Amino acid sequence: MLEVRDLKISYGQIEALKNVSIQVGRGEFVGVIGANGAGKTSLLMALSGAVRAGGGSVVFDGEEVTHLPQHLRVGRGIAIVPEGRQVLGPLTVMENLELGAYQRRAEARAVIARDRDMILDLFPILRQRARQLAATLSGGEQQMLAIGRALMSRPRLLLLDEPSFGLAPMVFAEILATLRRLHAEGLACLMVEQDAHVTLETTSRSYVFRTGQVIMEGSSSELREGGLVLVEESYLGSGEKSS
Amino acid sequence: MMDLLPVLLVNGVVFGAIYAINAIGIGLVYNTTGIINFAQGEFIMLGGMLTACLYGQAGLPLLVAIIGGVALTVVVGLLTERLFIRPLWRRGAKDWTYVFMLFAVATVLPNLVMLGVGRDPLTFPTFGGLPAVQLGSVTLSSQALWVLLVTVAVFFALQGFFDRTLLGKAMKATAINRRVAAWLGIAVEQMVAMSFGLAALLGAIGGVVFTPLISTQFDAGVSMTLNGFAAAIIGGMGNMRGAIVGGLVIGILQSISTAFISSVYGDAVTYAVLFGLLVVWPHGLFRPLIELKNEEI
Ligand SMILES: Nc1ncnc2c1ncn2[C@@H]1O[C@H](COP(=O)(O)OP(=O)(O)O)[C@@H](O)[C@H]1O
Ligand SMILES: [Mg+2]
Repeated sequence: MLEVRDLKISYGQIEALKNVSIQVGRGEFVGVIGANGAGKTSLLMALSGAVRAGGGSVVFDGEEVTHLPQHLRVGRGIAIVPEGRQVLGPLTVMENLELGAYQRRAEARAVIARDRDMILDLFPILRQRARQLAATLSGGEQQMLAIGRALMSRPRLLLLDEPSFGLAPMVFAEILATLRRLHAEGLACLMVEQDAHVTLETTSRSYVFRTGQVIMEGSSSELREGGLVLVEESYLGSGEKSS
Repeated sequence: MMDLLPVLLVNGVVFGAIYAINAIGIGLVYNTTGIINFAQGEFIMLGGMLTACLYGQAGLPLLVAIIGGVALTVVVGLLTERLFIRPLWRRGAKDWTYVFMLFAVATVLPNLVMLGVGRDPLTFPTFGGLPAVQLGSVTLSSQALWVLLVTVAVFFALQGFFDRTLLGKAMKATAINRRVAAWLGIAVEQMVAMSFGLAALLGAIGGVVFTPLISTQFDAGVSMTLNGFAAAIIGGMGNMRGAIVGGLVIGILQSISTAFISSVYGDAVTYAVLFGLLVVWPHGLFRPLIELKNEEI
C-alpha cells in the first residue's frame, strides 16, 4: 500500500534521512523506533508532504505521490497524528473534528455527521467535551482528538508520531487499545515511537532508525526476542536510553 | 466650544467605522500570512475611484457602478496576491520582503490611478433610501447612517463566515497554525488568496459607502492604511472586535484633536495618545486570534 524507496530529506546541511526504504502493507500495523533525532518525524513529514523529499520516491496505492501537494494527500487517504498532538487550541472539539473532514467537503453533511458520531463513540470523553476549546483538554484527550480529527478524513493509512509522548501509561494504553481496534477493522497504521517495547508489542513489523537510516527491520516479535539488545544498542549509540 | 463635542463625536464614529473596516482587512491578511498589508488603504481608494469612474465617465447606473467598482477592486486584490505574494511565498521569502512588495503596490496603484483618471477628487451621489437621524443636537446624515449600517453588517457577516461556515473555519485554522491546516488538507495558498480577496472586498465596500461623504482621490489610500493599521494595533491585530473598537478610538481622537488643538497638529496629538495607550496595553485592547505565530512561513 505504501512503498518508500531511497527517500532523502535534508534541512540545509543537515541530512535527516539518507536513502530510507520502508513498506506498509494493506491493513498492516508497522512501527518505526529510534532515538531522538533518528529521523522518525522527518519520515512522517515527507510522507504527509509537509517537507519536500530531496530524493527517492513515495508510492501510495500504486500512485506516485512523492511531490503531490500536501493538501491533496489527505484526500488520497494519508492522514497524520502529528508529534505533540497539534490540536487547534482556539477552536472547539467539534470544530477540530469538522476540519478533519475538510477534504470531504463535497460529501453530504449527514455522511460526515455519522462518521463524527462514530468517532465520538470511539472516544466518549470527546463527546462530553464537544463544545469546549481544544486547548482546555488534557494531554490524553488532545491525543484522542488528534486521532479523531485524522480519522475524520477517512484515511486508509494513519501516520502516528510519538502518540505516547507526555501521556500517563494508563492513558496511552487506552489509546493503544483504540488504535488496535481500528487496525483490526482494516486501517493501516505507521507508528513512530521512541518507546521500543510498546511499539514492538503493538505492531506486526518494525523498522529501527538510527541517524537517518534503517539499521534493522523485521517482524516485531523477532525484534523483541532476538534483537532487542541490538535495538537498545541503537539507542545507546545516540546517547539515549530505551524506555 | 464644548457644544461642538457631540458633532465631533459623531464625526469621529463615522470616520472610525471606515478605519475599523480597514483594520479588519489588515487583520484578515495578517492572520493568514503574518504580514501587514500596507496596500489595504488603496483598496478603499480604488473602490471609490473605480465606482466614481464607472458612474461619472462610463455613465452606468449607480448600483451597477458600485458592483463594478467593488468587483474590479477584488480582482486587484487577488492579483496582488497572485503576482506579488505567491511567487515569494513559494520561495520562502522573509516577511519584510512581502511588506516591501506591498509598499510598492501602494505606491504604484495611486500612480496608475493618477495617470488614468487624473488628480482631481471624484465622488458620486449619496445612496439615499435611509432617513437622516437626529441625535440630540446632531444630525446624522443618511449617507453617514449607511456607513455605520454597512460597517455593522460587514462585522456580523464576517463573524458568521468564520463561526458558521467550513471555509471560514478553514481560514481560521490557517491563521491559528498553517502547518496543521495543511495537514488537515486545507490548501493554505488558497486561504491566503482568499484573505487578500476578502480584504479588497472590505476595502472596496468601505470606499463605496464613504466616498459620497467626502469624495476620494488617487492619493487617499495612504492615510487610510495608516489609520487602519493604527486601529488594528490598538484593538489587537487580527481581532475583529478589537478592530472596531480601535477604529472608533482613532476616529474620535482624530476628530476631537483636529478641532480642539489644530488641524496641523491633530495627527501628532492622535499618535501621542496612541503611544500612551500602547505603553499601557502593549498588545492592544483585545487579544489577538493568535497569541504566538506557530512557525515561519
Ligand atoms: N526543521 C528542521 N530544521 C533543521 N533540522 C531539523 C529540522 N527538523 C529536524 N531536524 C534535524 O533532523 C534530524 C532528524 O530529526 P527528526 O526527524 O525530528 O528525528 P526524530 O523524530 O527521530 O526525533 C535531527 O538531527 C534534527 O536535528
Ligand atoms: Mg520526532
